[in-house]
Amino acid sequence: MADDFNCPNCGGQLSRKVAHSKMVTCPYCESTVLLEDETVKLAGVGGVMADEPSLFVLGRAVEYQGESYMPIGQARFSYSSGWWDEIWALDGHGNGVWISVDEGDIAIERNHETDLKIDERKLKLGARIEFEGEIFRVTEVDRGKCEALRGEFPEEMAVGDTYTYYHLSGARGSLITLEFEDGEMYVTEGQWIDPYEIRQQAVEANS
Amino acid sequence: MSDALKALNCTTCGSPLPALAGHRAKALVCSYCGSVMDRHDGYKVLAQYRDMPRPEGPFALGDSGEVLGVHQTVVGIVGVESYIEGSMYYWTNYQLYSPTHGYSWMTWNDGHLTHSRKVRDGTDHTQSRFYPKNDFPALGRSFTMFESYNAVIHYIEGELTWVPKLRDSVNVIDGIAPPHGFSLARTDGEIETEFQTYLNRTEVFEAFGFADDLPSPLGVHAIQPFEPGELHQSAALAAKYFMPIAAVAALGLMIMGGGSTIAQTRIHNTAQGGAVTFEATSTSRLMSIEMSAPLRNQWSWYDMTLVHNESGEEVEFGSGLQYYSGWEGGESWSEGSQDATLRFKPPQTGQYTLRIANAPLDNTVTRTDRQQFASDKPLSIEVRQNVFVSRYFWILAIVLGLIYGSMRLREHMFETARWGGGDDDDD
Repeated sequence: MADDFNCPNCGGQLSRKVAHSKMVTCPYCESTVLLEDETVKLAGVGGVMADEPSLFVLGRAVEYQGESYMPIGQARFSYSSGWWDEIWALDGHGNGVWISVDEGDIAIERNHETDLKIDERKLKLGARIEFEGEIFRVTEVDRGKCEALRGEFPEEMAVGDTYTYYHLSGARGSLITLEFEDGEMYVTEGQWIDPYEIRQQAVEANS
Repeated sequence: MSDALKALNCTTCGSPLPALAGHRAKALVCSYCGSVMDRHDGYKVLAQYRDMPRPEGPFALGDSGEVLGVHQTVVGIVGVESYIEGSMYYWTNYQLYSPTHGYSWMTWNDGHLTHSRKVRDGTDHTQSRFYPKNDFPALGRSFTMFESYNAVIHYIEGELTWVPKLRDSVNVIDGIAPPHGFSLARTDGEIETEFQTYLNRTEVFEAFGFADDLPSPLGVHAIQPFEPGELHQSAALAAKYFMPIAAVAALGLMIMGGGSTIAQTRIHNTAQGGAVTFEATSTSRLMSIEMSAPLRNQWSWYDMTLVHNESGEEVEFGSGLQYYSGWEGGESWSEGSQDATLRFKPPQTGQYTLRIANAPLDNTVTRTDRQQFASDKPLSIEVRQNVFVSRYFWILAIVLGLIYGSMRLREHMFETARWGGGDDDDD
């Protein structure tokens, strides 16, 4: 399908930056729009995203340890003690990464394919879990709820979606996030990064 | 992140308290009654510590300014003490909060300011062993172990990222690579690592909006960089590179700068005197008169007259030789020299005649001196041209060496002061 299209709700001119994006939000009416093969389908609403100071602003590249990242999607989730942002960004090779941003705790994660099955009932806070030969400790268990969406994403997301997530921390600063849905386990793996080493530190509100 | 709540009342004493931190701060400690409240559980009171002595330090809750390029706000205060090698040390940690960079610490220690932040350096330190002054890798660089100690909390106030308990202690290992440091804090099998940066106190104070009128920092901080001053640093850097050049030049001139002989003579009877004639071809180049006489416990003085043959202009001057030697206490000794060199620039080119003769002795000369006066020893005269003097380059090399050496000495003293407070090894 074409990269330029009209919002099925308000008719506004939309475009996507990445050919494999599956969803975009309309900046005019805040609808979320699903992109499927040759069709454009109204999915829901993007919700209200309160402006907050952030190192990651949609459309403005940042650099970390020589690698550039271009944020193109921002999903805000609430959890028991506050909220955090999941930034969908493209690295310098055009590959998508998730950047979790929670008050200076920042992690870059990539989707990780695995055949491994982990019993969700074993994922208690503090439990030690072996994952692909490395020992991890369960450091956070919580439920996240999608509160707002902005930009474009590689998968369908909806405001109001809730899910349980598990953070597993390795001895060498590695991080694994596990999510379970319909009996399937989804894994992202990555590293914590130092916000003081993120260049182009434009601290300004999202527009 | 940003909370709509900017202030609240202590659930124990009702005092107004600022709400400055984000949602990840777990505890709020009342500045008035010492109640520790759980921010994630309706500000439920978990403990109370009354009459905690407030630690020394320049900052208060709510102070804000830029640190390491990031706008930060002081949201919590923790007083820490440690008993190290027979002495008690105190410092104050200020919990900083930035909506974009999260939580970090600024530490006030004897007037020094440092910043530290939690890092995950990708190294499993659980199996690491640390020895004083040994290097260890972290964050892709090398740190030198400085000291290890137990840090004990003696004061808490404001919003903190964990629920603190008074007298809680943590074992800390400090590594240094000035102006940075790397610390490992070990509690109950967990290791937290922090990266530290030495801060320019005046700049921080300025950023926080108050003047730095406090006493200068005491001693040298573990991660304080050696900063000798721009002028001294530049001079030492220049000296480092120019000193060898000056020394080589001086050595070269000493070996090659003797010039070439253009006239020589030997005066057998210096009482009667003699002369030597030579041609001066340049008024800008040095010439030399090399004098040599085989004196043995004798001295002599020669009057000299340099005559420009064409103009008849004369210049009078004199030079002496003395040489004494002997044995005393089983060792030989000598003083003076049988040789002397006179350097001059000819006032004009052309032919010159140098007349030399012993000066007549007047009545002031003692009898012994008369006896030791040599008028029977031949005097060799050699006139050389295109002579270069190495002494000035030696002086330059020495001055440059002193400048460079003073820098190294200052640095050595600085490092000695730095390590005066650290773990020592056997060397």
